[in-house]
Amino acid sequence: MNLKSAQFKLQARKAIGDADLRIKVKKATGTSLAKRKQVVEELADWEELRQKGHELRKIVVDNLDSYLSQFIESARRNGGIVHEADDHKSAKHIIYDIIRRVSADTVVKSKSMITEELHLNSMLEENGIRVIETDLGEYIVQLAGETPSHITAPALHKSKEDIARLFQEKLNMPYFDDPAKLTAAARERLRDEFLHARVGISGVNFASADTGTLTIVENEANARLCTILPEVHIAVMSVEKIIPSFDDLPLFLKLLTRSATGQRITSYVSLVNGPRSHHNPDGPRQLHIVILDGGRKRLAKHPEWKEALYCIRCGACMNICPIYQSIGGHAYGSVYPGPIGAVITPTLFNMKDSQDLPFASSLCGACTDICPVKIDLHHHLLFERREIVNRGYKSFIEKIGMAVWRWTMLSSGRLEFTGRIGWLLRKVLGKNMPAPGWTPHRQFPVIALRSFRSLMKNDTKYGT
Amino acid sequence: MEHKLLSLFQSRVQDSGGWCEIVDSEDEVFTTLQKKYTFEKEKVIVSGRAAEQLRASGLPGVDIETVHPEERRGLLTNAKLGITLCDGLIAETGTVVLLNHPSETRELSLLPEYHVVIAASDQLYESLDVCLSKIRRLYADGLMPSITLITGPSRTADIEKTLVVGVHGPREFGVIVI
Ligand code: SF4
Repeated sequence: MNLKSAQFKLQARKAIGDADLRIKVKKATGTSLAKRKQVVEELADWEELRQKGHELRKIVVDNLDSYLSQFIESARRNGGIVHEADDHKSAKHIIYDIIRRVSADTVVKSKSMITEELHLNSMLEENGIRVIETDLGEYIVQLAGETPSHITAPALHKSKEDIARLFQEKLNMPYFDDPAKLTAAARERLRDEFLHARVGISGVNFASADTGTLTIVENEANARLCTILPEVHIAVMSVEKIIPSFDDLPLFLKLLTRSATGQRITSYVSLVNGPRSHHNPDGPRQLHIVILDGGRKRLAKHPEWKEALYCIRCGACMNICPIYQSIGGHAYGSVYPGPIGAVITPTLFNMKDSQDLPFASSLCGACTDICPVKIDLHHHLLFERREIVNRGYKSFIEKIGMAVWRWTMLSSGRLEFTGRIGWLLRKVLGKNMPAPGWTPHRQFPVIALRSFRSLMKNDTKYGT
Repeated sequence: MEHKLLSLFQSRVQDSGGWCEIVDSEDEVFTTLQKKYTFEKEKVIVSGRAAEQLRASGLPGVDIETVHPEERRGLLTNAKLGITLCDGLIAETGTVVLLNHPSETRELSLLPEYHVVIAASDQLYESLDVCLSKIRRLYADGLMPSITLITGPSRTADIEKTLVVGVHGPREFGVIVI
């Protein structure tokens, strides 16, 4: 995967300086959170549902191989053509091959994070195939030549004015910044593409092992158009999208849609049970299911990190994260931003290049509290920090610094003494006291002469 | 109890941006539709199974079964209103459950500008769990058709989280419960 996480610090600094971006991100995440709160609070058993979701995801990840073969068998029985891809390269090859065999030159596509992870579009375009993103947010991002900044709201970083200017420039339209009009313009342009494309590509939200059912969740109906109208439907998923049973769908739908968009259910949920047949009289002639491993089977065997595979990609941890709210999604430099991105990018892709991501957290735990499948996100961030240090990725200076800090913290006398020194320095240097990485943007706070501990000890008001 | 569920269903459909009318008998379906829409009959396409049910009380449009299969998609693209039956109503979410029946293409609920579902009150379930497990039992020893869950019209909030109704699918969605 094309990771840009190595420049995280630089990107984050730039994003923090962009007040406009912060306003847009705060507004969007705030709206999502408020809606989520409403529909979650009306369920008295939300906590039990989360627990149940967690347990089912754990069962699948712990027995990934057997669930995978059960799913493949069921999907084949339904008439689907299943392809297993070990890595990104072979997944892209398989998809390209399917398209080439039907001599299609245009592909309509609905939202899929796995295809983002594959960088599928650029590969297909290099091979002369037009790829049209049809989810409105993805369409906007594609027109702008950008990547999504949020997993469920790809164009969250754009204002309606940004989009109006983009449409004006790329689609030769007059400028109007009314979301309804912009949406109508996209509808009009994409309708014909849907009707004529011979291949449609979609993602998969859940794949039921026992029945082979692919579940696709959406609001715009573009995924339905992509998966019903073209002759060939290619569904792209990763191995961990599997859930044990068809009967688990209501639970996971509840967890996903309420957390993601604050809806009790989305406008459309398609349960695809195979290609056209007597049972499925309309729909594509061929259904191809491409299942990507891409390091996930390895991750599933790791005692701690396997939990990252429980994720159902609702995006709630991004919305609630104070870091994400301040810098948006692009700064992370990974397809998966926010807390889950910071957990999964180092473990799944490249720890060295994404070593700064687990440190982009205040460890406040808001992500863990909101996660609908109870992934212990902030502890994973902590575990990964430890791993990054153990692997020796941190600089020598930082190591010395940490050693000194540790030495200081291990004795109350040394801690007290350091506090006094700090107080003295602050007194002499004033609020311009330098602290690298901190004071360029903030003032150094005043340090109390007497520490809280000594107050506790000596003052009868506080002491025991 | 049933009455309570029905009014919950109705209010949930409205919450999701759709409309829901409850009528006493089949005879009222035609007049309800007439009150809502004044499209020419050729612009209204009715699924095979819906046509069969409505024929006696007045067929509001063209029965899709009478159209040559190759002309159906073109017809639906230009249609104003698609009318289907359904296989379940979910009170908790205001959802309509549609199986992919041989006489009811999924394009009927997708391509026309408006989509109306004709349902019966005994199709009402409290939650999705009950409805899906019943469907599964029904097809226990054979392949299941594809299933579509529809809740309100197509929508997006991709631009500044502002809700816009009518994206790539129907702009308006309604249910008539008999
Ligand atoms: S980690 Fe949890 S909260 Fe974050 S996207 Fe995944 S499921 Fe949602």
